[in-house]
Amino acid sequence: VAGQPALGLTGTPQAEPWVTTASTESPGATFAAHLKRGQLAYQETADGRALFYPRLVAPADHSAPLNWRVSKGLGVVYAVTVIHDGDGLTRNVALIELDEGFRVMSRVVGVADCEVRIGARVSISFERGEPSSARTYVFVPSDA
Amino acid sequence: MPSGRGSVALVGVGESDLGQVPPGTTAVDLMAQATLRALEDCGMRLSDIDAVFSASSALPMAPLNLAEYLHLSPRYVDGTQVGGAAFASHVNHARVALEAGACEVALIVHGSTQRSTGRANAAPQEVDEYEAPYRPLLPISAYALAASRHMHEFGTTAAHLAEVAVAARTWASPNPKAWSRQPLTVDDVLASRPVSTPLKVRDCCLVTDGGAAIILVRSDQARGVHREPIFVLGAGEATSHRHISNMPDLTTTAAVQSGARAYAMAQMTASDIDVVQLYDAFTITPILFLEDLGFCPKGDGGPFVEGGKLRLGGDLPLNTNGGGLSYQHPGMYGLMQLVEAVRQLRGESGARQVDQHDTALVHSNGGVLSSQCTVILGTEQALG
Repeated sequence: VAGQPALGLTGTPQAEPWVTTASTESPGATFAAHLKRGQLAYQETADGRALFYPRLVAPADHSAPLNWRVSKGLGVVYAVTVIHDGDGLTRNVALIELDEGFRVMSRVVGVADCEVRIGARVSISFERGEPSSARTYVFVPSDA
Repeated sequence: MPSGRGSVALVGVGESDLGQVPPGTTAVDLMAQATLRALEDCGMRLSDIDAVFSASSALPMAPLNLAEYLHLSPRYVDGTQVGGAAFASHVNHARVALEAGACEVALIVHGSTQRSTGRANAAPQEVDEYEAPYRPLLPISAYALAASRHMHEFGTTAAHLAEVAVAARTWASPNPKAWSRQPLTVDDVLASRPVSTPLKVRDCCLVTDGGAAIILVRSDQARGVHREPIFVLGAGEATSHRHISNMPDLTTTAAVQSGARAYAMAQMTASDIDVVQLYDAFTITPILFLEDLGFCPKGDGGPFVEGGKLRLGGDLPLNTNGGGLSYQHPGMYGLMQLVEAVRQLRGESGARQVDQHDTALVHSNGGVLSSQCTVILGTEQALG
């Protein structure tokens, strides 16, 4: 799917113009298909700006294409918080700025929660999420 | 005179029973009670109201609930829901509707039983599939992320954040209606339980029950309704995102734009403001808004709040009822900011009354630093 033309109103016009057949897969499903293969997919606008979360249309005029890309999975910690549950457990939630120029919410693993530092380089990793077993992307400290 | 400045006035304000209400009391009960008290404040009747503006975390069609309860049949209805900033936005929308002649008497009203019924029932959160897997504690974690970035970029400290909570408490202490009045120190805040770092439990707002209501009319009618109408000198709205992962810059909010719009309409700057009400759901928010609204340069918010400047008797009277941190915070706090600003401008705030009280700035925030609305209010003297 990566590198293919964007979703958009590219189908043949129908008798009723509001009925289109162009979109056979939702943006969310395209993203999920990549994730299943261990890829963090994002979209790029016609003028080359990275966009996240996945969208059906670009934040521009309706004919502007969106192109799917796969991130290299390298970035920096932009912001971080450590959540303290009542039972003494902690978990971190971080915003990661990917090198391609978009930001995602995620978690940094492989380091104590209180040691996650803003500005630290990280690389993507994948794990089974909770409570569902869906695959999620997380980040680990990186020298890259 | 630029469009909008001083065209409408707040003539009636009221609050419902606050704090913790008897079990079974509903959000609409509190909305209705606050409405009747606001009408009593200005000597108007229910039948005078022909426009209803309302929002509620628990009631997606809040204006309908209130209109049904009080047998109102408004000809103008606005249910704009942008979180805690909704009510300041309603002021701006009511201004436009009144100016256009679409209505004559506008009611803005809110009620919540968030303390009694619990947050999950009173304010269900949207589930976002790209954020939910990481289980952020929303909305707290979003504000915590912004605080973490502010500390990283500008050297803001946990003690700076704590000072915001301490200052709020100094204003709450003499306020008989405040929920938390016992003394609070910076060390108390720093030693309180971490919730979502760097925010501790004392960096977070209260969860209370309560409602509020305000009545607006065009200024040419206001003087006949209340002996001291409070004029809307400026109002501006702005939004920047819905999800914290999409906030363009975590240390600069859309208050920059909403404030600029309000100041332009009012023909004022921060230095013209006597009393300031800045949405304080978390201690980081007044620091961000002090910067974004021009009370200090970007990044200087931490040092700016040092030295007791915001405390009772300090140089900048801020959140003079005790704020969302110590007064009340019924899910969405914005309408209570407007009520307090009116009371201060009228000189009705008793032991916490500020000396100079001709102009007030109310800045409300909603979502996760998402929606921003600034309203500048003034007395007849400020109207000029």
